[in-house]
Amino acid sequence: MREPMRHKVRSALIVALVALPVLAMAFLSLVYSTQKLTPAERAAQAMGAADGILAVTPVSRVAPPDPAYLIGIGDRGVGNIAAGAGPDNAPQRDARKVDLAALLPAGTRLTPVSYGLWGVVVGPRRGDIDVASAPFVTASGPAPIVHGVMVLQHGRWPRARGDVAVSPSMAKRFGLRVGSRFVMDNRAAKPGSVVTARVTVIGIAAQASCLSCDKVFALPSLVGTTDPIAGYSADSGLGPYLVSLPPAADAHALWQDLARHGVAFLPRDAILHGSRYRDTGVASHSYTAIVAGAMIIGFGLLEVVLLAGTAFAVGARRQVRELGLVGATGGTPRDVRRIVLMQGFVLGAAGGLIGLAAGFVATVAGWSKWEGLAGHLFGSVVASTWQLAAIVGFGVLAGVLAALVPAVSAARLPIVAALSNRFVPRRKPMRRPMFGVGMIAIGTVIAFVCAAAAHGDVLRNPYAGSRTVLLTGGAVVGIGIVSVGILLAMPALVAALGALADRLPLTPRLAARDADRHRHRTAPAIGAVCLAVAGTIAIGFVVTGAQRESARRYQPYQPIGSATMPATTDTGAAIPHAALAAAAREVGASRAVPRRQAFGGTEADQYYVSVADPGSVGAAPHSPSDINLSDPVVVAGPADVPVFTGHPLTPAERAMLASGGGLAFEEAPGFSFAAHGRVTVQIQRNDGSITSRVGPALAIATPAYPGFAGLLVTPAGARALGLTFGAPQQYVARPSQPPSTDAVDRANGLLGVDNGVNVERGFQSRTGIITAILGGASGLVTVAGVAISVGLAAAEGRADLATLAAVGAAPRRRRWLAMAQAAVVGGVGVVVGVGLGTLIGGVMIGGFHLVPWAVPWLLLVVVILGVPLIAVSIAGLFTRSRLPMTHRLT
Amino acid sequence: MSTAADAVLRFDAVTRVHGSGETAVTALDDVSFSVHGGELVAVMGPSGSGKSTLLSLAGGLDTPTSGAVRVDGVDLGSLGAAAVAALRRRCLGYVFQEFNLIPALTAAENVALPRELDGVRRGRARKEADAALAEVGLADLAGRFPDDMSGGQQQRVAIARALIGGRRLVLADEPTGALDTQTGDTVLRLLRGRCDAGAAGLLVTHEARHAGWADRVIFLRDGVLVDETSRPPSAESLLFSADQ
Repeated sequence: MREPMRHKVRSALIVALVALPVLAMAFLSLVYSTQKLTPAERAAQAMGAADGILAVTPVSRVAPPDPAYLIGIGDRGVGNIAAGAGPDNAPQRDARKVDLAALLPAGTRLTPVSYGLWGVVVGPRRGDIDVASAPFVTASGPAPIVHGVMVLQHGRWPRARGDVAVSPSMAKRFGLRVGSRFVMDNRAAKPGSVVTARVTVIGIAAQASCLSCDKVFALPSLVGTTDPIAGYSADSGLGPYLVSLPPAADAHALWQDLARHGVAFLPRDAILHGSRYRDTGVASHSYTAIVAGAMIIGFGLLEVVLLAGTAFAVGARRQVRELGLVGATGGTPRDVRRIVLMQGFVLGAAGGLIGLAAGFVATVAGWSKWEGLAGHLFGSVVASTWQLAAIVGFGVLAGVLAALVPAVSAARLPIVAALSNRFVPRRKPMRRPMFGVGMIAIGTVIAFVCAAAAHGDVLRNPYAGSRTVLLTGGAVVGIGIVSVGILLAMPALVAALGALADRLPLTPRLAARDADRHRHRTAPAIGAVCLAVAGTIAIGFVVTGAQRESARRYQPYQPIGSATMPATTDTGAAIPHAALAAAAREVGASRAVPRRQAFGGTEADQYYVSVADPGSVGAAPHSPSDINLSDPVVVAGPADVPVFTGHPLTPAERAMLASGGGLAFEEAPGFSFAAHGRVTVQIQRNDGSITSRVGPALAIATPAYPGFAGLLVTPAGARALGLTFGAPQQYVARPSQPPSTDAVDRANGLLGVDNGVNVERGFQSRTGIITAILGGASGLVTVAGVAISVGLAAAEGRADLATLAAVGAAPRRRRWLAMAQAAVVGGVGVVVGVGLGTLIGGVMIGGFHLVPWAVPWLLLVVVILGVPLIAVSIAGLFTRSRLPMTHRLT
Repeated sequence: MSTAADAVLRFDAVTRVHGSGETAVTALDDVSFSVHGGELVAVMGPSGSGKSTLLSLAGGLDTPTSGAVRVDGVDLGSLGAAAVAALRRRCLGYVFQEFNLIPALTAAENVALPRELDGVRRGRARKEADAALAEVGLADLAGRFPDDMSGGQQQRVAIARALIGGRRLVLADEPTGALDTQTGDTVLRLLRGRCDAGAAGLLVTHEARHAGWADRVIFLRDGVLVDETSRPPSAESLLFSADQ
């Protein structure tokens, strides 16, 4: 206890190294357990004080609702409650005719919940928002039965017809606050009789179970009747109702019985006692998550042990004379071990407690932020005794493990050498490295064999069970064995580096030899860097492979750079041409051209149109199976065609369009729906009969953006094929430059839509961002490892620096030496780490076949060159150039 | 007849005060002397008399509060840190009681250290180091690390390091303190031989027997140069005379 207090800086360093990961662990653990509401809290958020939620579906039979699907009564009720309550092929019916009273126990009270979809206009922005009324908002405030569902955060509940409260999410989206005014109308719900109201925000109220839901709360006098029969919709059914059951009612039996009558009833009891209502066994993917979690915690622990172990090793070395005195006064090597291990225990416990306290503070300090990220309100801080003990225990374990090797080394030191404070360099390690190399080989084989076997399982059955999980765990264990093998072999590698340093210039030679001589501190520091880099590189391989696969699968839906705009607003109103022209200018295009879908029959009685696979009529090879056209035949004016094709019309294309023919895109390499200058269009009537029409068509090689259309025709061409077309579904603009997201937002505002303007930007690789994050993460650990190692080397090597000064070393030599030491730790750590990371990446890709093989070149360059460079630069920057002058002379 | 002007090392009224105010301690007080080429001067005095301070000032590791320290006529106080370091590499060599070899370097590399620091190519510095090691009788141990050598061997390596490059001033701080009598005599014989070859030597020692190797002895007490003699007297006699 006293020894750590005597060396406060080094002790603080160890405590900080332990406390930081404990902080992260405590924070994540506390936020996770806190956001995971208790059943009672979840029930209160979902249905207030009610005994259940009920909705009469438009089908005569449903499956009992699954409580896992419920967000809360605050959401659109019937659809939400009935989610997953199939079968959807049951006979349709009029939900209003269901006699609920006959189905429910006597004494049951139903409270209808009033919802409506209203259009909201705030300045240039427009959107369709759920409006909730009674029982959430009544003249006397929220009804007691919904207590806990909504939480008033600012202002007050509406008291007058023109008052509304809005959810924080909506306030943020539309820039509203208490006192703001906006216009709302019920056009979306009732196109026939529109009510428009100008309202004032007088409160901000959150739905406890869904903080991201946009919502308006208004009095029934504003939104109209709350009679569920009056608000009946043939599509969604009747409801929802909050249910108050009589005391003797059997909620579980009711849950099943009502479902047989097409009534979705979710009782409160289903949330409080979930296991009676659904299978709560652990799914196989949860085992995989446990394996991944164990791997992350294991590697994190190893990382801390290595970094803190470095500091401990130096501490034990400094303490060697005192430990010698323990031996001289009758202490056994066991006593020496205990003394050093107890220091690890004390510092680990201190780090654990400080980390836990900091994690608690971080949890409470960002409370509303974490609630926002989780999407619902939290109850109180939830933490079990076991959870807290495990968090502190992690710190203690890290401290004790960090002290383990130094304790064993100190106990082995001869008493005479210890008393004379003499550092006896260890002999070149031989046995452990060989053992390490063996572990690397065995671990590699285990990892690859298990991964390949697991992949084989998944190929046979995508829902493979415990065997696959065991094999996955085996692969993880294999990787762990390789990692430990590398750590065991690390001292030998450092020794080899020292032996090979003969021909190096003085400063790097000194650094390499110093690293060799002080393997007790350099090997763990290099190990820490190695593991961090390995993790980064392994993730880099997987991410790069995934990105490559995404890029390969990406199918642009229109020429790159094109922007599509909706023809109608979110509420179905046609967008004026002037607004379309303005929006086109906003995104940098001269105009927006209409895109129409061709169909058979008349506009009132439309038939489905498809383009025939030439292979099916023996004219050409069959089409590839993955072509999925959004619009089989698209109609565009001759002058508009270049906007769709992405290039000016060629003479052949112009001639084809002029002759009433169509253009067929290259849907897949070498394939288009036009064969031998002809295309076959099929019209399928409602009675199932198919009519085929053959017309001229030109296969064009570009652009290849499958899914757009099989055939592009002019209005005259459509008529020649016996097709018709109506109003445009969409407008397409072709900006000269890809527009900014701000320009797209402004265009949305001009059109009066939320998110209707889409720009085809091609595949957007996120490799750069991911590389920056991964490179930054491994850089951070590398800099930490290097800083600790170089700092400790400077402290431990102060006498050598004084000697260098005495024999005439220039002051800057100290800085160069620190930079060379950083290069040794960072460089070796990065090189070995890249090797280990590549091996892990190989297991992920070559064994598990998670993604295609792709080398993350950018990440490799950043890590191999950038990370050591940063470490060396920081070492140079923070090392004083003055050499200690008189240390040994006084 | 040598004069103060051609001295390799010269102290002119050097005073060194550590700390300030009430805690000020005068380590050296108005000390003047010089050491010429071919001359070995011993510095004696009890603990705390200022011997180590004097040696630090002579090597440019410390700066005087007043007065001047000159090496080859150059006032160390007029030089910057880099120039003083260059002077240490080229003009003077240190021998310490605890040897102070860099444990990560071999004997030859330790000896070559000042030359490599001075920019001499590694190969040439190594040849010079081998020659210096041969001079102290350790040619066979050039590739050994200090941890694998005895105290006497390490001190001889330290002397070789202090002599390499034809440096004219050797500063020795109790160089035999950690050695047995026979090895100590060997080390002093080496030092004496180097001075006979033209170098100037300043030897800090407690033992009158070792001071017997010197041409002159200067005696310090409480930072004051209390006596200077060309013959090595016994320490006891000097203490007695200082008390008079």
